[in-house]
Amino acid sequence: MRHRLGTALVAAAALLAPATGRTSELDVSSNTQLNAYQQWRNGALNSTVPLYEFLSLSGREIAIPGGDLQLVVDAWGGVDLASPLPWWNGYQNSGNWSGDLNLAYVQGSWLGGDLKLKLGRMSVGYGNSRMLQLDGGSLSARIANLFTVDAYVGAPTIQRFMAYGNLYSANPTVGNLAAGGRIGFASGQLLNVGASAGFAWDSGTATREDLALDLKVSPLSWMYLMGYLDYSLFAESYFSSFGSQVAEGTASLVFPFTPHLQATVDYSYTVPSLLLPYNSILWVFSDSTRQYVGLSGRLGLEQFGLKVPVDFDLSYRRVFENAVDDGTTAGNRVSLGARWRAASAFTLGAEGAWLEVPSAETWTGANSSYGFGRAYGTLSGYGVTGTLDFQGYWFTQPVNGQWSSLVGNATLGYEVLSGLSVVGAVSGGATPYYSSYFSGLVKIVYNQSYRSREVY
Amino acid sequence: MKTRLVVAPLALALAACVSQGSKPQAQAPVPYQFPHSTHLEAGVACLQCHAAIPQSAKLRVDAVDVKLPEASEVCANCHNPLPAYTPVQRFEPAVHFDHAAHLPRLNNDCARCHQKHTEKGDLAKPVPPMKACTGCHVHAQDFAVGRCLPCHRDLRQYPLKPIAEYTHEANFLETHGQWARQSVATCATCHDQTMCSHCHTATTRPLPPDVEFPEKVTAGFIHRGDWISRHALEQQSDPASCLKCHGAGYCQSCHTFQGLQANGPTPHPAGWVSTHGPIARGNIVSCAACHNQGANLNCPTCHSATGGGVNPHPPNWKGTVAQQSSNPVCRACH
Repeated sequence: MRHRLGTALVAAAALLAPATGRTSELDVSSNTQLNAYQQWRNGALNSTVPLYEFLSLSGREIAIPGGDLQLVVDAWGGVDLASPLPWWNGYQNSGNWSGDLNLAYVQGSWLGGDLKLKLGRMSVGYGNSRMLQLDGGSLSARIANLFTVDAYVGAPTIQRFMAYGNLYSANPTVGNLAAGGRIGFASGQLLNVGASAGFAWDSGTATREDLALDLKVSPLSWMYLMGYLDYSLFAESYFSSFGSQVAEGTASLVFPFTPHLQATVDYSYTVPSLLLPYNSILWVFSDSTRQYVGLSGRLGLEQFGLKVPVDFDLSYRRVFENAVDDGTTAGNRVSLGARWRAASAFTLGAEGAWLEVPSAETWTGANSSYGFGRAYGTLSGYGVTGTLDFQGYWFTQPVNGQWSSLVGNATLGYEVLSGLSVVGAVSGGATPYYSSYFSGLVKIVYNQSYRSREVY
Repeated sequence: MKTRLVVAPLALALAACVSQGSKPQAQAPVPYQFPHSTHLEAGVACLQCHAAIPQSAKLRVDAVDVKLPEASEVCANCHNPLPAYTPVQRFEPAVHFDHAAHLPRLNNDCARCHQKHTEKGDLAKPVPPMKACTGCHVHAQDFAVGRCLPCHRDLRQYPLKPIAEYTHEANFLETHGQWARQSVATCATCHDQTMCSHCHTATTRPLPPDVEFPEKVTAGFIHRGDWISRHALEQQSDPASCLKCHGAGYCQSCHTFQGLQANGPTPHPAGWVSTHGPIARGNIVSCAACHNQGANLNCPTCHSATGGGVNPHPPNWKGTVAQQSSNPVCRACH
């Protein structure tokens, strides 16, 4: 499978590569970053000093017959300078060196962008694909400016080039084959509706079989109604009630009145076990749902004509857990934030939040709620940008024997040249899992766009 | 195979982009020389100078559409001798535009779109406003489906702030997925996937974005701060949200690293054997964070149907004997 996929990628890229075309624009982003911190593993604290290189290349509007081509590569490599066994975020046995491809695709575009074909490693975001990271192909077509057809097929990406379908995949879609797509219809800004499908298999065993509907209706320019329903065909064979077969459902009423006055009312329904791959035995044990109703919004003082650039954000959710043994229990999540953007060079903000988990018990015993407070700010001038960020958490039940967590972070950056910056950061604090910790990083960031003018 | 998969796209990108001699666009603007208003007031027709425009199907960075006539009675009416003039200004066209197709439909009335013109000493070229396009083209439909690129070359180079339904204010972080699933092409109008990948390639990325970009304190990174201490509470509140980005293997990888593994020292409270059922049925995703070893997980030790174990299925379970034989998951116990 992997061999075929690689061959197809290279062959397609060769066919699409321009013979005489020129890259109209090339975006380059490089981040060379050295971190230093202590990491708890295998029962001891270990010094960890990883050096990373993050590199992104995006070349656009490369002329090909009848259309244009885009090439995108987003990759990283790292080496730990101090520790023999660092944890590279999702894979524990890669040794001192590691690296991966986040994106690596080539996209051809024809008919003024109405037909696009993408091959390689990509993220698929349309329909019920759940932003699937995929090694394969994706086709998008727009017909008569009213209909859209999107389809993908490939293997769900797995970390560090492990074999596809590995049980320890960090990809939420598990398997060695995935396929799906969406057909959509849009009529002006009034209506956008679509039906999508998402399937995945691991060596022939289904790990996902979902159909979904999505809807957006905007009868007024300042109001949008959005809905989404994802139905598990697989669960239909194992659960008798409709609610247990709906993996996800959301409905939102959005009011984007102005940039300084917005509101959203939303509802969400999920069956968390149906987001596990179906070849996991665990989902056969579960029968619980999560629901929430929420209200969020932004109110800025500039809305009232005041020349005070302060915005307030409020979000509230009433969360319900419905489980077969405990019935319905409820929790709350509320957050409030304020941000003063005095100018592009100065921002000051504060946030507070409260999370009350719906269920009383968990696998460690009593559940905790927590309160959260944060203050942050940025100041820029003469090419220098500094930031400060302080956060505190207070728990109603001890977490690892501790009742609170305090962390702070400071950064200082200097733009050496246009697009070239040096940034330093230090952070420290006392948390339930680190009685005290200190970390630092230094990075060199380079962002630049290059253009090659076409000559006719 | 792995090496080729890595090298091929990189090599293609470099070969296609670098070898073509791309270079930074950093040139001082050259003032315009031609006084348009003087000539328009004198009644000089646009096509007297822009003679090639009726045949021009593309906007060009070089000004070959301006071709002054070798000898023209119109020019000679005022100029004797004709002044030397070479069009010097270049600009990157912001849109794709076919003059050859448009001019016949407008009866060669250039002023329908070009309402302002460059004058001597100007450094910038006034381009026709977008309403010149939308006067004929129904833009609402294109806007609704994010169909910008057929006309606009690229919106990335403009410091545009999204408006109306695409505004990124307030709780956009939480709702943006709903917008994207209907029209991901709209997102691509301004954003490359390289931008999305900072958060949405959790499978392969080595750092969460708040560690990679600690200086972006105003960004809405959801794992900011002491995530480790609160991640179990966040998971308990909304288990499905974790599974949108992270497979259970991701959780197990870190938990194993910390010595939290299925066959290791138990973190569970006393009496767990008798109390775990309701908790597992309520939030099985938290179990998967350590116990997701396929058929090798330790649940069937007690729950196996062949070993006389306790039936763990919920009340509305309707699995059949036929499924038990056909589904490998069922065969772990049956």
